[in-house]
Amino acid sequence: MSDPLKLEIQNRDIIGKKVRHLRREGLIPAVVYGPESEPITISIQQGPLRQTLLDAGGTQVIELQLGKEAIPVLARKVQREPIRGDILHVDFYRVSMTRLIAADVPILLVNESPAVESGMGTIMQGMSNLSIEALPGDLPSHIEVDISKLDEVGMQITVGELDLPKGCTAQTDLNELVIKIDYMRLEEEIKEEVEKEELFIDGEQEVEVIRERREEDEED
Amino acid sequence: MLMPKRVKYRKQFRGRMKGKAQRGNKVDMGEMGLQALEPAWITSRQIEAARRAIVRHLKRRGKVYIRIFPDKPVTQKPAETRMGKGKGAVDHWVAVVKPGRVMFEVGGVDFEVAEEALRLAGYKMPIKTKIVRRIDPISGQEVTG
Repeated sequence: MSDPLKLEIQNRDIIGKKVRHLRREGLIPAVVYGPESEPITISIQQGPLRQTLLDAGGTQVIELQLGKEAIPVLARKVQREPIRGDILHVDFYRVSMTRLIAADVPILLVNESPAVESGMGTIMQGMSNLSIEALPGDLPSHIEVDISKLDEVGMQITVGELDLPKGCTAQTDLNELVIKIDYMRLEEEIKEEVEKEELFIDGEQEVEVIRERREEDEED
Repeated sequence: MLMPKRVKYRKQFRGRMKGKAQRGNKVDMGEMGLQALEPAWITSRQIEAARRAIVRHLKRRGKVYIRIFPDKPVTQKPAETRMGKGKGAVDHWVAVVKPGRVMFEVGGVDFEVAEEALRLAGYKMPIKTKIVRRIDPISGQEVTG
């Protein structure tokens, strides 16, 4: 296992709406919580935090440096500004390196499927993250799914067929679908669908009002 | 065109569009999306026009997700009518969109095709928009897979 990523943090007394003053100074408010400790409010310099989150994602252990104390954590939730994407707040989960934890690990598709390349089918991805239980140090940054074996329409890969790293167990149903090659729709089907839709568009639609119907019932 | 099947009340107040979209502001189901940068009422006709623009460009590939629904009735008084005599009849339906809202998503196609489809859909909108990709919620990195 490689050395965990390190991040300098400071204790934070400012809470509530006043944290916007911290953000103006380039400090991001955050919280550290876990099963065996009281939650602590902290603030972190924006630049190093952004870089560390990019490197660690939600699955790599980060070591928070609070003075001489080192706190091993996983980033659990990151709040972002809806348009610019600036980080507003981060939740860190304090982990014990000897205790199993669950985390959502991203699924990464590798190679190309012959069925898709030949134009016979299209990829239908059932899930983009997989919940995995492992020791914090064993959590992979992502799970690679090789789709080059899927050479026919209808072929699929389920959770049970995934090649998980040592020490990792999937927490979802093993029969759950990860990826499937779906058939490509024919031109005629699409035409029919469009015609149907157009009929639906032209037709005058009445919107039923729930309350009025009740009143009518009462009158009866 | 999109409209509700049943409603509790036939007419509504206009309301306000303060603030940014606190929900539905991330690309969730597809790989790329069209995000609103201004607040507006998007009519069901505009949604339909944008959807057609996307579907036409994608041809038969990929999948289109419409993330907004016109559930707000807009009333209109008949032309040359004197004021008063109550609120007009329902004329059309709109979706209330705040800045940050991801209105359309496209998945299952190349990024270039998806980008062009969403660019064409953006022209059908009455507001400024931008094309956004799906990002990892923690790292903020664009998801490429």
